[in-house]
Amino acid sequence: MRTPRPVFAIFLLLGGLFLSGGGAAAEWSKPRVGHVLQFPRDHGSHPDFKIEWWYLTGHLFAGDRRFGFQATFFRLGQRPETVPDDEAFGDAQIYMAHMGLSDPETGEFYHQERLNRAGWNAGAKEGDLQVFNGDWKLERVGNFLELSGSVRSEVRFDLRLLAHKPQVIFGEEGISRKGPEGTAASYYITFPRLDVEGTLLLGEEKLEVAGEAWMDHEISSSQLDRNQIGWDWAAFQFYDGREIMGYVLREKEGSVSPYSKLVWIDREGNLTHQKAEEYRWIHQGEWESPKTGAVYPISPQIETTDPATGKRRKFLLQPTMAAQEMVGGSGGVSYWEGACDIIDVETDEIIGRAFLEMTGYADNISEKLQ
Amino acid sequence: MKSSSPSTLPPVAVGRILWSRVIWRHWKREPWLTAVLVGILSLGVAVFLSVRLANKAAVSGFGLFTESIAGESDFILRPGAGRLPVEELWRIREELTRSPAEIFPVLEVSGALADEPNGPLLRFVGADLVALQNTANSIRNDSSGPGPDSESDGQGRFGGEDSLLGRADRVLVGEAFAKRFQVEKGSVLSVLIHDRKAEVEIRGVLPANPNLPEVPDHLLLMDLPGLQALAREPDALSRVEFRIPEGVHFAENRRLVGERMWDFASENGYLLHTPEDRKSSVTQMSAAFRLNLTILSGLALLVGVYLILQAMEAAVIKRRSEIAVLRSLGVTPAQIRAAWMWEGVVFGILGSILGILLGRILAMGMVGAIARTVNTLYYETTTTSISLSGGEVLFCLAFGLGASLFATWLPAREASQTPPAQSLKQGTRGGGIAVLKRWPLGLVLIAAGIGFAFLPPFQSGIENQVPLGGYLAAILAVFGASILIGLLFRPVSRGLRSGRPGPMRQYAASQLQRPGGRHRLTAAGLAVAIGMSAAMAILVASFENTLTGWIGQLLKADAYVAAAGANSVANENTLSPAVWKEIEASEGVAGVDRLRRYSVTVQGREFFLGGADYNNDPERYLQLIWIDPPAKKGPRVLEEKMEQVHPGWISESLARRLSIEKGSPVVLPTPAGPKKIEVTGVFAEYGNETGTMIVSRRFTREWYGDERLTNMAVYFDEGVDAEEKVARLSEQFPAINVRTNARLREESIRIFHQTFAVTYALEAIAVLIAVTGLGLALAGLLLERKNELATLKSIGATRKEVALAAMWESSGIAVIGYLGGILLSFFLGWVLIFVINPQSFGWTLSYRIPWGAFAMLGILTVLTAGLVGYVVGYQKAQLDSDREE
Repeated sequence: MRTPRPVFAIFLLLGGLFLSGGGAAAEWSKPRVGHVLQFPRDHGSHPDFKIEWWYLTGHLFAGDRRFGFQATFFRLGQRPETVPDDEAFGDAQIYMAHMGLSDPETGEFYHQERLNRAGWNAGAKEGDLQVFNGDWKLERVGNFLELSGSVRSEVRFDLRLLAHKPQVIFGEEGISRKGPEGTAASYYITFPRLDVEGTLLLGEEKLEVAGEAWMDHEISSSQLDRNQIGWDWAAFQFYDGREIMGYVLREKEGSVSPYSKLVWIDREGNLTHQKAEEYRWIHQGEWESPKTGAVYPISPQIETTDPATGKRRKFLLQPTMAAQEMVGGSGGVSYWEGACDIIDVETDEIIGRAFLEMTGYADNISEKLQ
Repeated sequence: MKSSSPSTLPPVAVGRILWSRVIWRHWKREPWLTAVLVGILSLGVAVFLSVRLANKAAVSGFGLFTESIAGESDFILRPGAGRLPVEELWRIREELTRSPAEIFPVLEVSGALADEPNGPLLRFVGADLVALQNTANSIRNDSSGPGPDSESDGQGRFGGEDSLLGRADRVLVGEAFAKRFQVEKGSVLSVLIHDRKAEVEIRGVLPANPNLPEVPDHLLLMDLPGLQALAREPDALSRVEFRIPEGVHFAENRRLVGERMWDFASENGYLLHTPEDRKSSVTQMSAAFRLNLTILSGLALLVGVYLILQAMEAAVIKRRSEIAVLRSLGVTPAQIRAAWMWEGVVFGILGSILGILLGRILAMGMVGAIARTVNTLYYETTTTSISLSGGEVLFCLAFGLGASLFATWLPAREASQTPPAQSLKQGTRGGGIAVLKRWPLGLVLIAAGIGFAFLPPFQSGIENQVPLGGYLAAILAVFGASILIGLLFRPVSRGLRSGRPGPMRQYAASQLQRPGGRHRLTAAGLAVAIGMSAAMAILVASFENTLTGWIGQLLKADAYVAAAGANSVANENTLSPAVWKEIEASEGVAGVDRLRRYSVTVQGREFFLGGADYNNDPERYLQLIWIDPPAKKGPRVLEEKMEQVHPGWISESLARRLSIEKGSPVVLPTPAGPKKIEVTGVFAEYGNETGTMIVSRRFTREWYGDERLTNMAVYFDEGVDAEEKVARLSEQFPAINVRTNARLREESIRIFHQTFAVTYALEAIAVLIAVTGLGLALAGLLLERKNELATLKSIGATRKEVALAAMWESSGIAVIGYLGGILLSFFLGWVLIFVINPQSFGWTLSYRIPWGAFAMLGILTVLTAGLVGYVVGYQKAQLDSDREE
């Protein structure tokens, strides 16, 4: 008999891990207007910023079978590294990572969180993309990105990703603002469409998989404004070769922050920005999490103007399965992150695939991202 | 229907009559006797059970302490010697690139409380407090995480003011620790680690988790780099634990990690275990000690069996008239035997139930003493709470019932076989076990016992030898002696007649001249109890004598210096070079012996490696006691390396554990790679059971790159006042232990007695049972001779005179039991010291008989027996005369 594993004693004692650590935002670097990002250098880590993440979401196919996957690597600065950190057991940077895989055929959602301090078992390279946490790893190898991930002894995936379109940088003058405070901003770099192929080990099966993914890399020192309690975000990949990145930042009073954005990306990678008042995000399809009790609107309807035609369009995001909640273990953050189909409300046709993310329903994420 | 039976009663009715007439009525008539019998049986069962439970609880806490914080690992990687360098973590990560295993490095350091430097051992465990969180995440898919409430009061951040990360002054403890040391969150503890004093703040008390083992009451948890800083061991790890997450690929992932890490361990001189392997190999070291305690505890039960047998015999005699009546009514012998056996069953069940309850309580008192011994002699353990499993209850019930039935079987047979006519004849010398009269059989048993004593030990498991031959020899000797004791009756009877005996003494002597079965049985029971207790006394005396001699020869320096810490094999505290060099250079110090002790593992067995350098004075240096002495002697001989082979001395226990002897080669794992050692001498060591190898410190300094010392013996210049000098040193270095020779001797002896505390308690219980039994047996004897007593009275003997006769008879039996017991103990003691002890512990002891204690025991036994005889005789005389009237 193996000893039952659950142990929260230490966690409870520490009172939960805050995504951000000590050190006032002022001590950290802030995104600067007009700053020109350079690549591949800026695909790498920026430890002078407090919060950074490399966020991969996508859709995989093996014959008739379909899966959604997520691989996220967070770097959470605890203090600016003014004194050198312990090489093996650093405490200036904490690395958190999430892996998830949804299998609509069985209804299983596999996910795991991992937390490590900078050192021998987690880290992110400066100057190029190479980030790891335990056996989970994302790195740039030539033109490819290579991702290794697993969920306990249930799932393992090894994927090679190749940018189908060049990267885009969201925001005005190189920075993406999230609130009126100057600090609530980020550098927001995205590969909106990556071709994926690789292997997926699931249960007894070893599957050759292929599909499409989306990758965000955001660098900031404070992501949200104090009044904001969470966001709804989605990455749309239309069959016609265009994409949308859109989000609404929700405020405590229930209103939508004017800093919410929706951006159309055309086939050539040109961006069309739409402000909060130019699109609507209508909450629909409530799903209550049996684990956290949070109620998520998992089938939102988004109304926006198609820059190609100037016509008003309505898209319904329909999740491939309801239970795609990433339950925060030690990170203390629970959110819904799941694969969806995009349905054109006018024609009722599936016109693409999306990944939807909803935070701040199970807990107030703003406190953790200050 | 059986036509042959004259009885027309159905069997159920027969059963009911037997129960009410023979058993129940008897119990009602003598409730005290019944209570004493049940009490004796329950005491036997209780002692047996309590030792089993306490043994289990005392060693179950063997320290893989991270288990109580993070659950059980799948593998443990640890160095064969010294520490594991932190750099290896990158290599391990590289080896397991594609494995989902969670990898937990751990550092463990021993310490003590500053105001109690020789008090309890503290165990600092350094773990990566961030990575530890992952244990929660690597569980099943349905893990619900900490839930929405857990962060509500969350002020504890990894970074910032409240952080534990990297902190050398903040610790977490378990509830048991908080209770034991009366501390709470915010308390500051002053602790000693190595030879330094430090303050640590308790930042939190870990709540108990019902799914995990209890956090031991001496454990302090810290962030790993914080402990590295506190212990000043910046790049050191004690071990790395691996945990494979659950899931369908668990077995495959486990196999992969096992294979990769096995190769890694073999290539780099490390060891890979599963926690079960590690635990069982470590706890096996104390298996012999625990087995001995179990067997000793069986002693009380065995004596109890004798007593029940006697009492049942007495009951047969007492109820003869009833049996005869029943037989004449047509009750068959089988039915009578069954009735007796049922009585045994009821006794057995009642006694066992009471015994189980009592045993549970006794175990609580015993567990601390056993754990202390294991800590002193074997390895670090903590006591866990006593748990009484259903299996254990059933086992004890069966054991108690078995003992009771065994004790009832012979009397039951006797009751059923005695013909009705004979049964009615009161006063016939019946009773006892016929086999006790066959003295040649006794000789055969003793001879066979001697033969068995020479058998080699039975191997069970890698570390465990069971002296099966020794135990068999002891059992045969016990039975043999029980029979041969009959031969002592005549000489003792003659002794009683010597001088000018009065009529009552004459009468008593005549009873012993023609001993009945009952006499024999009583004397045999007493002899067995005394023999076993006295044999244990011989063992303890021999041990004490040997140890005192050993300490006397070993401790010849004027003072002893060591880092503070409990007397435990797990104490790893050391003296820094700055401290010991200053002491060595201080005024009045003529020279020192230096020792640095490490833990090493060879052939899967962990033991101590001592790097020693001795005071360069042919008269004044630490001289060991040799079992197999080296060819050359002197303080410098260990430094004489022959090419690549280093000379080394090993302790007797190590020789036994590794099955090596003088001349054997041993390859030692060291941080500088494997080193060849040739054993050039075997010395006696009684300080621990793990075993020690001593090589020159010149070599261990090279291998380990370490200038620290574990302890140091100091020789003063002539004319220096040792007490005064030690007091000065203690004042100058408050964080270390400086003791005079006399003080260290005193402490060693105190620890020795503490170690034997359980043995003493068990012995006392056995003697108590034996003396109670003597009283019971006498009552039976006198009852058997009711008519004779009545005759004595009718010819004019007063009640006091009858009591006097009983006193003489009783004293005579006590003398016989005592003499037989002492003779038996000489043999049992020999078996314990020369067979069982060397085979199970590997310690050579010199045979020593505690004459003084034996004399006391003799006086006590005979006086008690005389007194009991007098009281019983006085009472019986009264009863009998009443009845006669």
